[in-house]
Amino acid sequence: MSVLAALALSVLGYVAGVWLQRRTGSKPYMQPILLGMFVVVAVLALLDAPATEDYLAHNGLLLDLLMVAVVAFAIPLVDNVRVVLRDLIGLAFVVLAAGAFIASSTLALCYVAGIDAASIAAFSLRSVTNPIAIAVAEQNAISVDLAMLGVFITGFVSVVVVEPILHRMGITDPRHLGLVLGITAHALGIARALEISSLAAAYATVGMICTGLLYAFAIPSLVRLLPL
Amino acid sequence: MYVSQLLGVLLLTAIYLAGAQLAAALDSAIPGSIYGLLGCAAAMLAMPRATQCLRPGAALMLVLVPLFLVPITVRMAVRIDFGNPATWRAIAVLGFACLIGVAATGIFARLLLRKEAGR
Repeated sequence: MSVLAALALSVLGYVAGVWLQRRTGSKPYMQPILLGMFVVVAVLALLDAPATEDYLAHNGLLLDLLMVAVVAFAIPLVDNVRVVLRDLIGLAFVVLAAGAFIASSTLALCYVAGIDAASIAAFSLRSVTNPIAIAVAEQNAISVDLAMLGVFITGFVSVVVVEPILHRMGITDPRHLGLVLGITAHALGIARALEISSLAAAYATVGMICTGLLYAFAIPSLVRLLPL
Repeated sequence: MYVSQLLGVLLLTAIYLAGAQLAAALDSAIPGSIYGLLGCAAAMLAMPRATQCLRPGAALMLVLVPLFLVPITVRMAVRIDFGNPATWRAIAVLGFACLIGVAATGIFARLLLRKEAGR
């Protein structure tokens, strides 16, 4: 499979994923990434085995563009930092406390369950949005595949449970809901927060990006402590 | 429209490359794209007009993030052994970690964000 064919297959998968998402009523869990993945995997299953390896080897351009997209997160960060400037100190403390709790509880649970150190390192990135998680994983020799698995599981579970859990705890403030959605369910959380209110979406965006930045700076130190 | 998007993407690429150069020069474990993000945010706060140049390209790149992620999700689906019980044990642990993470983050948000007037 040529570079052009591999790129065309990715674009086909993405377009099919967007189309399928719209056909199913744009539900938060019907993500074009996952739907597109199923389409591409189905096409590759029809081809011979080397086609899959060729496809994986020939999509470097899209990974480079993903890194450029990480820089583009500066726009929503700057836009929303102005909106939530009055809560900046509280936000910083919430992101720090939640980030530390999520990372340490994940490490402890994985350790107790007997999960290997390489997987633990990858799962420590589970609350980071995909592009930042991939950048951090690549830079620190962490398995990108396992990191992606952790990010997807976290996004899907969290976006479903945030509102039932917070409502049961008596938390109904849209700022709190948005921030928890952004920190725990990253991009899926922002999509859900947009349905609640623009204020919730602003807090979700800031929560997601600040959590990503926190982990980008903390994970390299954490990885050095793990016996990889 | 297309020219402004292309100009924005080129500027973002230049910022990313500068960040990658900085990460390499510092021999840093922090990705170059993160240095680029922080540099870009600082530049926009210092020079608001820069936002107007970057916004069309940035909006395009953020919309296309799912496309850029397709090959990586395909690799995850192909490489991870979903027939292995250890994979499902890890997924169960992650699911449980999500539940306590959400509850704890909710408590932190309620305790640490100041109350809205009238609440």
